[in-house]
Amino acid sequence: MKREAPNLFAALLLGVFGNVLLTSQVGYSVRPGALLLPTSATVLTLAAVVFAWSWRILERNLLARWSLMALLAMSSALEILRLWRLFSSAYPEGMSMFGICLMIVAPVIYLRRVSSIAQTANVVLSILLVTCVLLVISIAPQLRLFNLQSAPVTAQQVQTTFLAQAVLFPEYLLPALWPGSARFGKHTLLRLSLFGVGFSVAAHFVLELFFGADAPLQENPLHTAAQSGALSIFNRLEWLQLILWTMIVTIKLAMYLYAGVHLMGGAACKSENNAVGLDRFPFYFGLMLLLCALWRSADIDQLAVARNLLLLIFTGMVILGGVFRWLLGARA
Amino acid sequence: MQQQAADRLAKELDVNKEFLQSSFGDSLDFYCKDLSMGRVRCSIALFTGLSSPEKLTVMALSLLEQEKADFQSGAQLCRYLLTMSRIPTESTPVTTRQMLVERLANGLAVLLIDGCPCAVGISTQEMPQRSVSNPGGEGNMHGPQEAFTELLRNNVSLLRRQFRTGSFVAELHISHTHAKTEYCLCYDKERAPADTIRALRERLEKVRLPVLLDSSYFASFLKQDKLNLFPAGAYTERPATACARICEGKVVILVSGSPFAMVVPSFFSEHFESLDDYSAGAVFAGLIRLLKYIAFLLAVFGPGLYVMALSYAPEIIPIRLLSTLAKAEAQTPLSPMLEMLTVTLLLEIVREAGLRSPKSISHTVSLVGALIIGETAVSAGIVSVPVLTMAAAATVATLAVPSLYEQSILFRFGVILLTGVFGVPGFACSALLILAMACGSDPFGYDYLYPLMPPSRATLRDGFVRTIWTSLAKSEGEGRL
Repeated sequence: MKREAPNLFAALLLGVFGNVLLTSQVGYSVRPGALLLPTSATVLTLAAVVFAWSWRILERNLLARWSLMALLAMSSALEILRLWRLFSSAYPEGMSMFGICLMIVAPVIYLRRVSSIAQTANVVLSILLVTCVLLVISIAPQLRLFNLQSAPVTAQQVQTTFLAQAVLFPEYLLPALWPGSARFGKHTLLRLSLFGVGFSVAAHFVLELFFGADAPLQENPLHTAAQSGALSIFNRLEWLQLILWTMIVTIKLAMYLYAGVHLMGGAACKSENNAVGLDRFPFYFGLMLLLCALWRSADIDQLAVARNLLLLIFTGMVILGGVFRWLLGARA
Repeated sequence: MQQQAADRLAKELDVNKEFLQSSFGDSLDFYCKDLSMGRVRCSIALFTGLSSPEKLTVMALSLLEQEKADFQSGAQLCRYLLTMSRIPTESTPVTTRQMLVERLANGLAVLLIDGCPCAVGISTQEMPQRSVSNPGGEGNMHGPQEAFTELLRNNVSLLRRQFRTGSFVAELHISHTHAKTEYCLCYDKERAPADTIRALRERLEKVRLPVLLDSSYFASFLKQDKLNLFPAGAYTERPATACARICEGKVVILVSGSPFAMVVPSFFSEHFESLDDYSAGAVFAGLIRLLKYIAFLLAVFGPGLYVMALSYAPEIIPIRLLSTLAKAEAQTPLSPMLEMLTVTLLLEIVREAGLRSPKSISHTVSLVGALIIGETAVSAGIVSVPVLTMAAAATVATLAVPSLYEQSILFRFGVILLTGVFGVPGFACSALLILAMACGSDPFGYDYLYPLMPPSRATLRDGFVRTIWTSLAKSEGEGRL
């Protein structure tokens, strides 16, 4: 009951689960997904571990710090835009981008301390898991075992599946900012990638049981499945899903902001330990609003692909830089 | 150094008397009388409302006459009174003017002695006080039915009576207020964590207030995040509840003049607990506790959810109910949000008026407000019946968890406003704001949501529900800090 060292692993896990649920359009068949699970998890873990090692060497490099900050800001804006699109499709009238932006960023004010991010993430993760169980129960009568595909796996399928599973989201890079197990627990990266890819496979397994061969072709399979619930609980509760997504995105944003402040020098405000100062919120809100306004009419999927690519390039650069510095004898 | 010397009592009786006369001479209740004991000139001072001259005569002066000791000097008399006499004097002499004033204000009679730079305090307190009565704000069917009163020492005695161990500590402190009000930290030194006690002591020591009338004045100083609306401590007027919390390793703060004790650290789940939970059967107690959680959710989110359903997400309402609600809404000029805000505000005004008005007319105020205004507002078509029903249900639900009343009201207004303006995202934002506030509270480093979150065995032991007494008693250690 005593908060000796708030553990942020739940926040990272929630972020990864959120990525899986909100980007489940990138569909793949469950068989290659299950087969590739160990490979994808290993690749992700290795990439993150090497990144963390290189980051310790390059930690003081201003360019690296500012680049990661920019990527985190881009990811935050992307999450807001994605949610705005979701809200706009569900409720076409009266959903202004300013309103959505304000509603997502405002709770971050109360999520500026590590302990509050950690505990809120625990609660939202519990709600998410309960909701997932409810979703599966509600669509259980429509899940058919014979929907599982048994056709031979093609090289194209393997490639698509691997690309969908092994996306290096910012969550895999963040543990590098706080080395050691104090902030996230032991074997953070291995657990994170295993849980993340495992959850993705489980979600696609349920979707394949529901849709059969059409699962990878659905535009928004999770949403469609949820609305077809035999028990009808999600038929009328679309708003509940959206509320849950909002909570997940807000916690992701809080986590990114906390990491951003750490990258800027880590100094929190004087009175509260490990906190983001209140004085930074107007600037933060302004920045998010500006980025959202800039990318307002951009294609979100393309933007997400660009972000993933940039993250990959950044990771590669950091790893290369780290290796070079290490070879030249720089002290870690 | 000079100031310290000036504060010391003088050897000469007249100087000390002059100080008292200049300080309290004009006061109606100040009493000072010269007398001699043996060959020593003395003077007795007291406040008549706080100390009893009759007790002084019976317990001190006549006893002293019977002892027939012959005192040659003031120092001899002082030594005799402090160490040898049967008179109920304080064991430590009064050596400074500040101590002298404090003793008088505490209701002691003080004997000033000529030729001695010390005075002797005699316990003759007799203060007007309210007798121990039933608690007015914490209804319980079973268990002790006595409540704290305004006298600090009585309140400590009420606790000590229930807590018959040597580990019970009642630490007296004087606040940094103009009136130097006393407060007391009560805890079990074997169960309360030493770092919590130390931290609490330090934080309270730093508090500077113009006046201290209740333990709740400390609340704001104990919060880590001042923007957080959840309370920093729980309050009780029942010694039995305070005793139970002390057994859990918590600290009870009593303030002189207030019949309410503050319990720190306090957790969210404690607001849903009552003494009756442990007297009733586990199944029934669990059911009632779950009902309280539902009532809290209804009180906070009910009206907002109604506004959201009607204005933004009508698909969540069954068709037949939706047509009834739509018909009712069509007859009113205001939007659902404004309607809900108006009714909720009106109910709060009625409640406040009923609470503050004299008891003889408070029932009339409630009747006029709730029945007549409500009825006429509906008849006039200003508000609809469903809105009135929802607002009334939320208000009644608020009373199921009275200790979170302030928070329920504030959160309710926030949820209605955000949902009414921004729709579903507004509802999501308000829900997350409340959740983040609850999760962000960490009183003295403890999880505010313990034992509810993160889910563990303790959640079912004494969290959302309570387990049976046999297993509750077996795992008693889990309930402690």
